[in-house]
Amino acid sequence: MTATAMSGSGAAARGRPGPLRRLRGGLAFYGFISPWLIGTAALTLYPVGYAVYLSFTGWNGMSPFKPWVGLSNYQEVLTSGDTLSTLSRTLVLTAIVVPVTIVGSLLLAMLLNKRMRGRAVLRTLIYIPAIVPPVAAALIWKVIFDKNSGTANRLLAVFGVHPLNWLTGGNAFIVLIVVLLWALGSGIIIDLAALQTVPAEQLEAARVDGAGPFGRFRHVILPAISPILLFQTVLTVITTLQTFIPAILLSPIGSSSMGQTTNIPQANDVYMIDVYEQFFDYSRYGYGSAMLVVFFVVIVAMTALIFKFLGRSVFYAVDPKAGKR
Amino acid sequence: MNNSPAFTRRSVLKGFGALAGGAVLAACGSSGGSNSAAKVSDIKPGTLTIMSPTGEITADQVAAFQKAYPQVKVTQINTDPTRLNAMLAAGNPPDLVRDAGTDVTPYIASQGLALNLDSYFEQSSVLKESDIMPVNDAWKWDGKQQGQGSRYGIAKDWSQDAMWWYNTEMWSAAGLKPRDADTPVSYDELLTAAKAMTKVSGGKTSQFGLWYVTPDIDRIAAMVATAGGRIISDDLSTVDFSSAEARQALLWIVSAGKEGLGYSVVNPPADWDGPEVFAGKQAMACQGYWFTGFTEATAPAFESKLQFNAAPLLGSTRISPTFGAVGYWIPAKAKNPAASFAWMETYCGGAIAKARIAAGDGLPSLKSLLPLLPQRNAFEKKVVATQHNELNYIKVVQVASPYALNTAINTTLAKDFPKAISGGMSVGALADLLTTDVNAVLAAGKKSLGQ
Repeated sequence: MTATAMSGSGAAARGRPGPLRRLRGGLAFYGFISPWLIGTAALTLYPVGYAVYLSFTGWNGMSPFKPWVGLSNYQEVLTSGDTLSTLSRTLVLTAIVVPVTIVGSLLLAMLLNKRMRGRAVLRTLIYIPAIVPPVAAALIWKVIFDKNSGTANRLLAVFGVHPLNWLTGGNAFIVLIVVLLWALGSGIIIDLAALQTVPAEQLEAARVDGAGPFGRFRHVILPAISPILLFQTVLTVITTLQTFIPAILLSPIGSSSMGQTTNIPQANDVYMIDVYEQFFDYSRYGYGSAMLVVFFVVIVAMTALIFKFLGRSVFYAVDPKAGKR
Repeated sequence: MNNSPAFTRRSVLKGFGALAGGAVLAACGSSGGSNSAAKVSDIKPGTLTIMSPTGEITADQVAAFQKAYPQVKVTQINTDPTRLNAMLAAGNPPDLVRDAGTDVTPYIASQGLALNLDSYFEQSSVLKESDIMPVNDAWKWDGKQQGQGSRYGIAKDWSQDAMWWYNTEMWSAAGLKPRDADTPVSYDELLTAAKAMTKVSGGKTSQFGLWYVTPDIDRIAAMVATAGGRIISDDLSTVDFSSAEARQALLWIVSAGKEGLGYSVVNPPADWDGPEVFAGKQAMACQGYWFTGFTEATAPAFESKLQFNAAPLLGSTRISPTFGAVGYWIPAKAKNPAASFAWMETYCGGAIAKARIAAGDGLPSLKSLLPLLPQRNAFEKKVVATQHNELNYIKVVQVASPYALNTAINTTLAKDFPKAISGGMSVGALADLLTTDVNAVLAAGKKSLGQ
């Protein structure tokens, strides 16, 4: 006892906190982080855990019975032609939207970075779509592409083209891409901010060394903004993979019931729409949960691949691993 | 702080992992409730929560109910299937749910979600067995079949939804002879009439001859029933669209869509039949009696232009079904079922029902209320005469299954039909595809019940 007490007091004498102080420190620590802990536990960890559990059941969302089905939901997700087709449609959508978004917003940002008359007005106009709520944006496009009264068909009529049914069949996919690309504004603003951090002296030095506009872009601008481009790529891939609201809002209302997605054209039947249908049209909560778990793995894998292949080309002015040493 | 071994990053992560795992284990251990036996008791004071589309139940109706039952306070929540699922799963359901009896009864009754109301009906002085209209058989379930057995709900008001309306001006402008409202037309004749009235110019349809043809299971089953066929098997676990009668129905829907005679699943309208008819874009509407009140309230100028007609036939069996029998059911775990039933009595058979029926909003659930159908003018008189004649042909067409809600089946149909309407799929191939896909939905539903 004495030895312990002496040892304890010795530790205190050397500056290590005593048990009471450690307890008080711990309470303070948990007191400060408890709002975050409680929020994360209640709103993220518990639902995720519950969804993982549901993915092993055949629960229909209403019944008191949750039959255990083991891995059969996962087996079905990985072999179902319908599910794999929605996944591949989503990957095609991502493969189109992501490069166009990244390249398009960079080009527009470079244009807006030049000194010219009316630049502030132009910047505002280009950014406006990014602050329009997605619901309003989708509905505006729905009106524009309406077969009978939409602007798109009126323009086509000027050239003698018969009205097209934009919101059904394969055309609906084109409209979905247009809606997703419309909100380039936020990407442009991020790129613009990045472009303004490129050191003017480096650009000047490159010019003095005889580098042309492409050379300056290739060897000075691109490396300087590459961390931002990587961040944008990852973010755009994740958000495009999870496309849901525009697809559901672009579909015709028709006579579908509340919560029913019967009028979504097959071309816009992307993965998250399929998940929604499995939950709320087909009452397959177990299968829908398994789809979400698989999708989570797909997103993590794609993010890892992006970091693996694009991460090498990113130039960091400060070594990102420096803090770990 | 870093010196304290109790608060390392690893230990915090471990704690969180345990919490997520705990959620899994807790969920594994949870089991649902069981169906509680119905027991008539006095109305307890408290809140009566009704899930119904916002605006359908008016403040005046709530006030009238609360005046009659001052110990009960009515609160409404908007119809939301997701929320309903969550509430049912949590064992805290609304006290009343507004739903379509034709579509949900086998599902909610067989899974123990709905309260068996036999004992309530037996003791009711408002909803008497002898007075209840046969349409309410849609709310019956005996464990194997819909239409017989115990009662699980009641219609608030209803219509024979395969009946149709046409714009007499467009009809005669197309050179068509006026029809006798009480004599059913064949579906083929309807297509011919629709062709005559459809106006297309420059690839744009300015006037559709037919109504918005939706490939719903209710409609297909009703069409097939008039030809003496049936879609769903006797044990309600499988469907078959490949019979001659079913293929005939599919062909009609596909032809209407292919020829662009009406809005369809490949060319849906911006709105439903009503606004399209009143905008002069559509010559017909497939709506039941309730369209009377809607016309009077929203487009009275159309009263003189519309004719209400007997349900069409695919074959020779005269059947005029309802696609809804929309009303209320009481969840098995409702906290105050006696108050819920009191609402059913008041809204579906009592004072509130009488006021709604007198306004032409639909047909009553009770035979004794039929004389209240409004006949204040020539339009209403003609409509009611046609409706009275049609009542002789009401029948509950078996369409719902205990293994899947009709929402699931209709989603499947809507995915498959475009392949035949705008794609090159034959009707025979469509029939096979529908049979396979809908049976897969039913099989998945069966599996979810552990069967």
